[in-house]
Amino acid sequence: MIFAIIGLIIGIVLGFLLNINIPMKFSPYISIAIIACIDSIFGAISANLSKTFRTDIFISGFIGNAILAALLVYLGDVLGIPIYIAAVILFGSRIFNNFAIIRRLLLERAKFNKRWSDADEDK
Amino acid sequence: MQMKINKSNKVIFFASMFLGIIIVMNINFWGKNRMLLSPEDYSEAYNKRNNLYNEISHMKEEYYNAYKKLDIYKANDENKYSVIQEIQKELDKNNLLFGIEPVEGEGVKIIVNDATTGSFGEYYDIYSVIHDYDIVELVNDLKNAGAEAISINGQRIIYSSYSYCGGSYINLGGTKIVPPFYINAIGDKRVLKNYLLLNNTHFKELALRRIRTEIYEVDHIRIPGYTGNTKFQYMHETK
Repeated sequence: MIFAIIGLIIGIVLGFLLNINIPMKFSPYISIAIIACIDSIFGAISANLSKTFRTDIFISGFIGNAILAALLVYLGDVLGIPIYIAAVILFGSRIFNNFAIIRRLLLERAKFNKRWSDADEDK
Repeated sequence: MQMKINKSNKVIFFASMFLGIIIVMNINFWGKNRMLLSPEDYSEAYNKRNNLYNEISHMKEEYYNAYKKLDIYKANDENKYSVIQEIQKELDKNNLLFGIEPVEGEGVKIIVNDATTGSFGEYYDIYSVIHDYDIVELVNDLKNAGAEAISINGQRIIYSSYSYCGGSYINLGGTKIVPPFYINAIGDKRVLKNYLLLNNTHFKELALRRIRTEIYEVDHIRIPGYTGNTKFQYMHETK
């Protein structure tokens, strides 16, 4: 969790320093890709906490989801139907689910650590 | 609490960093003048920007050429021969622009002739013959289509060319010409032909009036230079 936050902060600082602007035309695609990436990172954090993290699955999901989401936006643009909403709803619900898992795991871990320290003090 | 830097943490770290970068790239924190445009507005603005870029590059090119010329004049101050050569080159270019020089290139040959009969059930009337304004309209059509040099019955059309109806003939810049009119134009042969065959051109209108029209794409046409009067009475150079 802490690595993700540090990485995000460094990324934001780097983004400011590099000051690259994406053409407005691609803005909707990048927006949906950002949501896909956030979902992947939340998934990775929860998997990491529950010790089921696999690098290959994460990287393929990270890139694949972003591309698929951007393609959905494009397809929606062409067909005139906002298909990207499907991606937004799915990624949104998954982000909250993963966040719930992360929360629970962290709280349990904190409780566990507290119990251990209490036990140490009793000794 | 000691943190473990294992592979998964590294991957998450870099992924988050990437996420941070694209978030900043996509969100405008500097408050630059950004507005949301509809696709139509966007493409219009995009075209406008491209046109402006074109104009700028054209101006830069002109500036560069003028600068180069100035440089040559300065450098060759003593070598008068090359200065004269430069001036001659420019004079040739101006003659080409003015239409005094004969030119050649690809283009179209057009033949227009008065109608042989009137329209069905109608008499042979004024619409069955070619008038001065038809010639003017045709020249205008050709110029619209991007013709660079035009001649009618061997008379070069320049900026001051005029035509008026003189009864059985048309007076074109002082020369009397009679049908059939052979109009030669230098330019992109396909563009010229396709443009003239569009529905709203005067060429098409002539065909509707039963006037005989023919158009051919030609790979090589020679158009003579303008040989008429080039003296100006009222127009002077600005000082």
